[in-house]
Amino acid sequence: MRHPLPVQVEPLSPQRWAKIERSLFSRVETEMAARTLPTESFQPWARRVFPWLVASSLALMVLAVLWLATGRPADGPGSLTQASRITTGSTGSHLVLRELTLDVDPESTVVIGAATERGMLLVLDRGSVVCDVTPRSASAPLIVQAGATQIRVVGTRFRVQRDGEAVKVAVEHGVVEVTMNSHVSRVRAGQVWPAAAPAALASTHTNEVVAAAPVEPSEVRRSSPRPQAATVAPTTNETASSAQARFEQAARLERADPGQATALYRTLETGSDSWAQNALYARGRLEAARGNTTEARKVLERYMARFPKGANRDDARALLQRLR
Amino acid sequence: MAQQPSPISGTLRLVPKSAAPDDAELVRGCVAGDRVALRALFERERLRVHALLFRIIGSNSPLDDLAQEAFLEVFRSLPTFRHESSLRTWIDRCVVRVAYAYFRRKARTPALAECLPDSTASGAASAEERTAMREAARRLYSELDRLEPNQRLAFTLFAIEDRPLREVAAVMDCSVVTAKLRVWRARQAIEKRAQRDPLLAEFLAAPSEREKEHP
Repeated sequence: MRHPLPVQVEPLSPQRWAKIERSLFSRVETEMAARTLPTESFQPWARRVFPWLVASSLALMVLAVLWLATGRPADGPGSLTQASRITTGSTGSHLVLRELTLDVDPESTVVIGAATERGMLLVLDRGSVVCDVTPRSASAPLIVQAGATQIRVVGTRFRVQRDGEAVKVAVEHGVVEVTMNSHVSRVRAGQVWPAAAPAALASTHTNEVVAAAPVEPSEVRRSSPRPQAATVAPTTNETASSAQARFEQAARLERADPGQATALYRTLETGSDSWAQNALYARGRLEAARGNTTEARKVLERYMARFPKGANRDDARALLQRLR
Repeated sequence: MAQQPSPISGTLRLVPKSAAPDDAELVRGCVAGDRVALRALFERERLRVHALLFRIIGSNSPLDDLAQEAFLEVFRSLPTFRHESSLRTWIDRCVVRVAYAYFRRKARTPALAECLPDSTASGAASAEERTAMREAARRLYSELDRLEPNQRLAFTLFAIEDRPLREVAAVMDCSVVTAKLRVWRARQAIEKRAQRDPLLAEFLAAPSEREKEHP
């Protein structure tokens, strides 16, 4: 009878696993973001121009070879021809490229993709970075990818900050376009995405920042059913805006400070509007994610009793079943 | 060494096993670029992928890179997964491809000193026995380093991973006859060496811990 040879597997340490996971998902993010760079369709007129472009490119290549062979002027600020990874320790780093100045803050990691005619990709793996981008062609934008959030820019100065899956974008001047889960928000100078302060939300009349998709606070929240947006009163209603702002703030706090997020949800639950529904369900889900099964069940049962036709009833029922 | 809990956040563990996403759901999520699904797949498969890579390579030293490569290969190839085999077999196929590429790159520069699991023997074994097992396994992997990558992979899957030939063939994407031939050639080479090496011969004859536990 054959038997397997007695080679036992030596496990990897948690630190090595953490390193593997970090590097792997950083590469995954880079690849995913690269796939989202805009592509231009090959128009019929381009077909006619294409042979001429090829010929010109060949001529340019010959010139470039000659130029390299005969020496070249001293290097000024360059543009990248291949991807580079920058990891800072206790001090930050300042980087000047031809069309981009980066201030990488301490304890941050940034992957800068090669500049191509389709644009340039920058992946923020962790920490924060200030990007100062000289105006670029709209067909070759700079795209900053931070987790599931994508910032598209054609010329501006802004800061992107990432803590796990929570991302914050602050624009100093110009406009950037932030995409998350297919929701696109335009963020102007002086604005922050996602809108942070409830007061700022209440006083903002444009939909640009207010309409931003709620931030994904953590994987915990993502892996459970998300609260469905119940019918919301018009944004001119200040009470509704304030409730919405508090709800969004609680959602953002779920990962960093789940206790405070729970407390904020509690303050919303007492009402009878749609945000009370959302808050009650969200607290049930959060308690479940925190392992407080009994409390989670109690809250979800209360939700089912109070809002039997609520927008999250199916999710609440499913979660209750799982908890039982 | 005890395994630490995984770094992934709580909800996935909170969900009862019966409610865990099934293969099809997981694959759909991964193909759609859902980060939670990607992480869930990584979390579910990482220990198995590591074990397979370890048994093939015989060392943990290159595994940081290889485990990453293996999962990248899985993530990149998932859109081509047609559910013709189980997801696990299909993942093993990706892992074997990565290991094969590694052997081709390695160009026969074995790091013999590293080729050894420290925990080759059980806790009950004496220090001498452990040392002997360690040395025997080092010699085995040293011999495996001389083999063609395909023979090595077939042999490790069959003789160390203890998989049936049919599964070896499925994972290596070849016929059962080819798999059998590769194992046979590898075994011949190793047994030839074992004739001159009593320690290796003893190692090849020794029942594994798994077998001791479940005879």
